[in-house]
Amino acid sequence: MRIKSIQLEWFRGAADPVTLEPDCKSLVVYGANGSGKSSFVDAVEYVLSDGKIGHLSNEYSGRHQEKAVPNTHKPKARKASLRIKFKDDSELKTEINENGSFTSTGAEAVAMGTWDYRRTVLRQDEVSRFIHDTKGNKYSALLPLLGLDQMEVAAENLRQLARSIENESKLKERRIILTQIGETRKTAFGTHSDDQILKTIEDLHTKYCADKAATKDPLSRCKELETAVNMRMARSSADQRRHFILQAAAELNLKAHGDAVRAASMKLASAMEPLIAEKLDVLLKTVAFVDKLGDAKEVKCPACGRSISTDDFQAHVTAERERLQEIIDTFNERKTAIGILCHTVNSLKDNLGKADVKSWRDEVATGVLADNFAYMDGLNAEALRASCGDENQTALEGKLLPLIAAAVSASKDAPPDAQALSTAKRTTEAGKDVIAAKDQAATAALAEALVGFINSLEQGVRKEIRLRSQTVIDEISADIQTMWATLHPGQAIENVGLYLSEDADKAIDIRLRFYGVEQDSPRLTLSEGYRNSLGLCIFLAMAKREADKDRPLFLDDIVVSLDRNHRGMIQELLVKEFSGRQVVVLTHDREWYTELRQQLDTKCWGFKVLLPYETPDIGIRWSHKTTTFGDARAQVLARPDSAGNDARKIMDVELALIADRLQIRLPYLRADKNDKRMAHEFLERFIADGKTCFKKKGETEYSVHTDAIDAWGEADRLLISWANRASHTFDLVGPEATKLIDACEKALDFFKCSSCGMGVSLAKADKWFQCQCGQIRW
Amino acid sequence: MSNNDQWITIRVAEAREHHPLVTEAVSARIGPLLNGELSERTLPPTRLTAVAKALIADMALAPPKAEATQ
Repeated sequence: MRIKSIQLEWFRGAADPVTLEPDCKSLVVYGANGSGKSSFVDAVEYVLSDGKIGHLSNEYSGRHQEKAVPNTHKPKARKASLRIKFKDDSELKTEINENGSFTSTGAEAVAMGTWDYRRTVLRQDEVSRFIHDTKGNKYSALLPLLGLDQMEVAAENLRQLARSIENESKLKERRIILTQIGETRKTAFGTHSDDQILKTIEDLHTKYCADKAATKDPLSRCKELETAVNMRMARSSADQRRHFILQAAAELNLKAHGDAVRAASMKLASAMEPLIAEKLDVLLKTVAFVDKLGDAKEVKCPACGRSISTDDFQAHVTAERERLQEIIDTFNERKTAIGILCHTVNSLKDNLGKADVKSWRDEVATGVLADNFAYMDGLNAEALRASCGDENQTALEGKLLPLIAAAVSASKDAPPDAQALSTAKRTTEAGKDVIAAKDQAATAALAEALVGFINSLEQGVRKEIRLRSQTVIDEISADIQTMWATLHPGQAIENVGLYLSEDADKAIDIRLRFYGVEQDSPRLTLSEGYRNSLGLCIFLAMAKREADKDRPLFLDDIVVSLDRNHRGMIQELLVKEFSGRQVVVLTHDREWYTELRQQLDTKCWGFKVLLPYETPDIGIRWSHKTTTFGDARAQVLARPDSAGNDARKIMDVELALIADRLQIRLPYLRADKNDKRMAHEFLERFIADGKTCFKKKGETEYSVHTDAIDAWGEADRLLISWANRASHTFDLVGPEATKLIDACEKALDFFKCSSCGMGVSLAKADKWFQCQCGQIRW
Repeated sequence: MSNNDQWITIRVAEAREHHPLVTEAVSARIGPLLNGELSERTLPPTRLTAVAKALIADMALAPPKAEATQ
């Protein structure tokens, strides 16, 4: 949607309403430094970036940039505002409140806020930003152009979905349990196969459950076996029962479980560096905060206090959560280890507290062991669960391990039948766990498969993104190469384009061939000027992808670091590639502006000149002329010699370009002197040739345009005497400067038709040049 | 997403080839999801959990007891 006008009122450099009116055409705006031309670009950025202007983002501009966006001299009763009118006559109105917040209404159909700033506006300091940006940011900048942002969303959702499935299916817990059962199996059955284990259980079942031979299901056999063995144990003699209990106590692996807790604690401690602790703190605050955000577009970070977009904030929290997932896992691991340790302690307490081992306890509970038994009896396992520090653990092991050692010692002289029964019980329990784990393992395998499937699918989507990106990137690269070749014809820097980085996802970089050598980055060889030139090509190539949207482009002072040759090529590029697009070019380069004004087709392009800035109260002002004499006039009072110099410089450029268009012949000069001819040389030739060539249409026929020749003569005389004085002796006075400027302006005006307003520049059947209406002819 | 969602069918089939334990029900569910809400916006954790549960059910995975009682 093309723009008809942009009106500013007390916005940035503007005071009373001032309007940029491209009227849906392309436009070149000239303004000296500080004249306020960027205020119009700021207005566009303000709308596109939801009330923010990038170059004003600093600690002094205020939360809503309220200290920087309105004119510093805005009267209290007035509001800073901007209005953007579009081709369909809809109008976007934005009013900025005192606190910097703003309200926008109108132009809903245009939805200008959805335009991408990075493909609408290119400023001087942003030209090479893309080149210097990270591969990831390059990718982000290109992503909307690739049209694959939905696929990116899908890939990210799949990644999160795989995590959710892991959590919901308790996959990690299942893996831990299966590992523990694997250890039990190894202890009880060594390297026996499943069939051998089943055979062992079958044999025990036959031995202890002879009356239940019909039972075939292994798990049921285990359960029957367990009952039978327990019943036999219960019916055993007191001596045997004492052995069973001591055997059970002896088998408790308190040391190993304590070591597991210690290892997990150490792992956690190493991860809990102060930085991590800080991140956890931030995360705790932000997680709660994110839940309350609702539809807010912007949020103040509770950790650092900066205002950031809600999307960025949520992405940050998600990333932090993921980074901390490992610590959370370690927390859980430690928790599980403590649980097992507590269970072991309880088992020891239960076993050694039984009446059947009372006589044994009384026998051994002398001296140090008496204290140990007292410690065990008074131990609260649940309290241990809540605080299982290193000191607690050392005390626990110091007191309980001697009790287990005593049980081990006492259980050694168990009668053979008691030992056999103990072994049968142990084997049965282990067998039951192993058989039951088959279901667990199958369930875990299914969960693993599902997680793996989702992960594969995510990779598949990313592969698809890569394939499609490549196609688009190839197209953009071809455009970059074409544009580069236009700006740098015949130069040995070729094959310029974008490529997807092989070593990382979501990463794009720029390659080129430099004098036959392939380079992975323009930063390796290109000068700053060339980088800027390349940055411009990339911006324009990306903008070209959106040609169908017919959105305007704003190029703000983009030729600063380009030399005259390359600057000239930009005009060719704009004509060649963007003739169907609305382009607003803003420049403080008077010579380039003049060139563009002379060379671009006025059917498609308009030209406007800003007057030099005076005061914030006066604000931004337009010159009524398309020439740049306003710059000179602004200096008449304070620096008349500078004003005179400026007038001559303007004439040098303007006359050179007119001479070029009208194919005026001048004597050849050596070296670069041809490029540095002065206004006087041109005027001399115009006056001489004009007496026969420059004609004005009368009632019926053409006659020599004597008024023009007189005006050129007058300007030439003043340039020789006063402009030279301005340059060499600096003693030009104000009235003289004014007269010189007026004379120069008048001289130039004669190259333009007073009827149709067009220059005498249209070729007519190779015989002459004339204006649009044919009133004047050369 | 793209009007042409043939690529989704292909990618789902590819992923399933690598994970043959995945059931037909899972494949049937994930395709439309990928063509729909999974591509439309970043899903909130609650919605992701719901989708995860549905897929687990499609795999006929017995949920752990603690969860089943919730």
